[in-house]
Amino acid sequence: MPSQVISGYVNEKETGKPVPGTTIFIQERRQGVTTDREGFYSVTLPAGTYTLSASHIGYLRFQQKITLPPNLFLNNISLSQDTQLLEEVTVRTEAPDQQVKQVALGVTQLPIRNLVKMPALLGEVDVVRSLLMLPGVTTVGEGATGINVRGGSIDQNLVLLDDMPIYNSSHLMGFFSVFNPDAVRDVTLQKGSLPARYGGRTAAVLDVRTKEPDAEKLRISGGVGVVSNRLGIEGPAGTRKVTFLADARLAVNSFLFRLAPFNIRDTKARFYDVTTKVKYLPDERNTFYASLYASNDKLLFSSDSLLSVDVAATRTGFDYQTTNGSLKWLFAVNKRLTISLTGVLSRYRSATSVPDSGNAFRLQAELLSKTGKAELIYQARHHRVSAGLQATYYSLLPNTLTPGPVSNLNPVRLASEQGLEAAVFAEDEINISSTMAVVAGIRYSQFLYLGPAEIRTYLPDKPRRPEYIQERHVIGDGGIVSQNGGPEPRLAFRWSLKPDRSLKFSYTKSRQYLQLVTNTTAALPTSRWKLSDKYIKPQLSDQVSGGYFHNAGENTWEISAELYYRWNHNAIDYRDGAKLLLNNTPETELLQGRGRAYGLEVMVKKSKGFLTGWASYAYTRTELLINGPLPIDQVNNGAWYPANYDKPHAVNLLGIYRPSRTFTCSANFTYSTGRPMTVPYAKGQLYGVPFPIYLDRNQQRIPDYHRLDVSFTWEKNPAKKTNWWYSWNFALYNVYARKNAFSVFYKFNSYAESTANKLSIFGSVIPSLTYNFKL
Amino acid sequence: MKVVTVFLLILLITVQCVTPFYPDVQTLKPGLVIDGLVTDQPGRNRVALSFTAEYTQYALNLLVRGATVLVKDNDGTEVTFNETAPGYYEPKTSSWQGETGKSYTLYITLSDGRRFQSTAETLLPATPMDTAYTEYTEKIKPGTLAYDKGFDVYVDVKDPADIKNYYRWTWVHYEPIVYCDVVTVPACPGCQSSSDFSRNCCETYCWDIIRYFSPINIASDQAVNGNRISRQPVLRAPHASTTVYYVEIEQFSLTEQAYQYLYTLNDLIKNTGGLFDAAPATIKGNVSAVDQGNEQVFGLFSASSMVVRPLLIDRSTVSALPNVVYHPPPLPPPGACVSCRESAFRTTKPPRWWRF
Repeated sequence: MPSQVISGYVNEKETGKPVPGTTIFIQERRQGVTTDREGFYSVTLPAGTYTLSASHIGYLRFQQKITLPPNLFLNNISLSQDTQLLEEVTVRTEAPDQQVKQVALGVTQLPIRNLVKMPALLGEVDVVRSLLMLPGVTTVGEGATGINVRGGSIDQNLVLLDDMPIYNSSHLMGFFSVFNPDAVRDVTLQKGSLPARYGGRTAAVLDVRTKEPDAEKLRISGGVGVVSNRLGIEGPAGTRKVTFLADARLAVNSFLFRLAPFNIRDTKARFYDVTTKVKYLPDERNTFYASLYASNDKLLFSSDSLLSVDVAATRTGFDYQTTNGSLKWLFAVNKRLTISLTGVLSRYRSATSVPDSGNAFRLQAELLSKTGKAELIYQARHHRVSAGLQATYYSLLPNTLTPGPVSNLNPVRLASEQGLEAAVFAEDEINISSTMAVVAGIRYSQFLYLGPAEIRTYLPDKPRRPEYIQERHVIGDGGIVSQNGGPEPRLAFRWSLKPDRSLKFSYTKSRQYLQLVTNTTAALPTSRWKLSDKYIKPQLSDQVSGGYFHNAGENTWEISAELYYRWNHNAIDYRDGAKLLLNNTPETELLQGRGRAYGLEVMVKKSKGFLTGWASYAYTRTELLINGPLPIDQVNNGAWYPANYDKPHAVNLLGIYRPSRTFTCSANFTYSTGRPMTVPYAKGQLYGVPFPIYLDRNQQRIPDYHRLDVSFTWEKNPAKKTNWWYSWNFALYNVYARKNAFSVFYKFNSYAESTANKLSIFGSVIPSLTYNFKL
Repeated sequence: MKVVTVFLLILLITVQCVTPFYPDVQTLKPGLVIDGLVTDQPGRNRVALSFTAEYTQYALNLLVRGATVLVKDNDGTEVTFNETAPGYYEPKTSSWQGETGKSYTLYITLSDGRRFQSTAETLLPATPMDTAYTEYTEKIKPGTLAYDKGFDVYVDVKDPADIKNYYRWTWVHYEPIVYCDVVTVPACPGCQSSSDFSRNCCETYCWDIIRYFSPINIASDQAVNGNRISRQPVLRAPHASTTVYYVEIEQFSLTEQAYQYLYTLNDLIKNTGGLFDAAPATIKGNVSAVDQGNEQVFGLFSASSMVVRPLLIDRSTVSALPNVVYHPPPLPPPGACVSCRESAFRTTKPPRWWRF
């Protein structure tokens, strides 16, 4: 019987482009061929009736019945793109109905896949700044370090990278986050109910998790951007039992500043960070992790304006490093019980330095924490119990001044601080019925401030100022100077009205024994950390929150509304003109009072389809009351006043549109009320120089903030079968070039009208181009 | 990469901009501002009184006239200050001077009867100035191709180890002048504005007195106690001529409170709203109202010991050409010479260390 031939081209339906590498399969004969570079195929068959299928990853499978003869010399096939695959944008590590089903409130998990699609400043994917698109998360301004969650200060957030605390989450003073997007798997922000295993901070927990290393093959990835360059490697180390990942990021920005305005032209800046992880799986029951993280920043400014030490200098250097290491062992005792042991060492070091010979010095501060944690998780049918112990030893060297070789400065070493924070915790998630669930937990923490330390007694009825020190005495090494602590109950309750909607309520109490003390608008990397001691009482917060959660359209739409109120006890603010650096008695500059934060957060999220994204609105208030017995111990005459980061209204819109597998565009818009500012009441003149007269704090506001960003990403077509994957990203930050205010300040003039001036950090649209690759 | 560079250029030229802004104006009843100083030098004691103004106001000339000002020391000795210029009070006997170790209290009674009193301020001894020296530098003026040529003046001070010391530096420059008056003519018949017509020469030697209008220049010995305070900048003398530049550098001792006050004041004046500027602060001086405790009073009364050191900068040693200062030619032929009128800004008396 003569052979029959069937041949033709396979094209993409939408574009008409050939699809090379398509598998053409004749089912009846189990015979297959693949198309060549032009998408051409040819099969020789005996006469008969066959089922031909054409398949290619990323396209819908095509099938046709054919009868031979006659010869089919041009049987062209068009393949449609598989839109299901496009939804990988929304691939998530959580169930689609998570927000309705989970008991906790105020939890948002963002996988890195989504974060990289969001427009980023200068193309630097920023894990921390991306969170600003969530309701209830704000910042004092562009370039400021940290985030303010539900009206908390930046140090009230516990920032963890794989269990390791990060004490400064910013590179370049505050412009970029320290997390390398190539190494991150996802980031979870908990701002409502806190699980009992977290403690030590009062506002929120930001938990950043790194990827699990690829066990199949060695992969190399990287990228070239305007700010930083990235390179990473991951994969099995010889055996599949040991896998590892190492991601590094380096930025040498000095050339950027050369193009900058005159006053910052001589600035030199560079940073790097390295994230590594080794995973060892000896058997099914044991998993070991070892992680190392290091980050380093170095800046040199050509003035002494940021120098807090009283010497004349022509240049000021800043450098700061985070060095973290952790070991973790997970042991599955049986199917229900898992035990984990974690040891973490975390060091944050920052320094200011002046290189001028006669006045040369280096002023360094160090915060070292050592944490040990043991936790067991027991899973039963209606219970999920977790319990454990945690102990953290802190040692803090607040300021050590080392003069240069020929310097006139005297060495200074402020007394070190040390403390032990110990906690036990237990928590049970109980499914009471099919509609009701509760998480009941308790944490008991105790903080010991340990010697050696000097104890100062201040005269009663006098303000706590250095001139009123009555006596000093010293407590020796290991002695307990002061202790504080107590229970921290946690409760969360969920009631499912229907399978797709639920009502939740929670109460969280938390205590904080370590704080960042700074009276500048944005914290400097060298800002001082301070342990709670005899004078500075630990901060305490009680938060109640409630919410309604609804998923519609088969989890396409997620709608939520949350209300919260937080009472803050022993909230910290500062005396006017407080000097905190090189201060032996920081308690004399601090004032403690009460704080309150409350608000409403509404969010509508679409997580399926070509277009995903969300719209959110938040009403957030945060106020302070510092009302000491003496007028000097009061702020605003003992009346409530808004905190620096009080920004009542905020609207965020985010849209990610992915019409094809090679192109994604996204846009976000953000609006928020301006933060409070202090306005002068009058001006006076002294020594020929006019000066402003301020009477109360934070009574007016800087102009409102709004901004639109867009981002476009072109990726290599996954249909092309090469190992080299790449993408180009072009982003525009601040599209309509609004001169958003960072602050308002006054120029006083004795012979002209004094003017208020608005300082904008970014006065223009900022474009960027980034190239990413994977091997 | 070229595209990237162009983007960066656009970006960084526009980064960090400052634009005017108009917030709501708050008002405050005018409060008294006191600039009082008692030193151990004759002729360097003064009390200047003014009122605060709304910050939108153009001029700041709300001077307090007709007040009764007196300073009392801890022995009860009083010295009355007379108003020598509007709002400017000087000791009745011009040779009066403070004494190291004594403490002084300022008493003010305004013409409307309101009374104010300072805390007692001790006149602490001053530390001698070690050296004063200059360094010639040329800096490009931002945005131009012109150079700012000048002599940076620094002082070094050996700080005594045993006590806390707080310093302040100021300076007075005497500029010899040739013309003492300008004859102006109306720009048009009957209109307000006028233009220079000619200059009148001075009958006698005459000097313009130029005082520090520089920022408040203070330091503490916190970081350097017992060592040398080195390279403390004092002023920049312009290289505008090849003649000798005459300047008297003044160094004051400060009490801790006065230092704190000036430090905060400096922060307020220098605040440019930057990322790391401290929050604006209310500054409280050491003067308060006697009858009404809640009345707002601003400013400082301080007692300082003072060291004056002359510095004669020979500007002819530098080979670079001086920056040209434009002097209009005296047209038409100069008129008759006029007298050099003695004031706070002009004098006929040669400065103490002047070399003819």
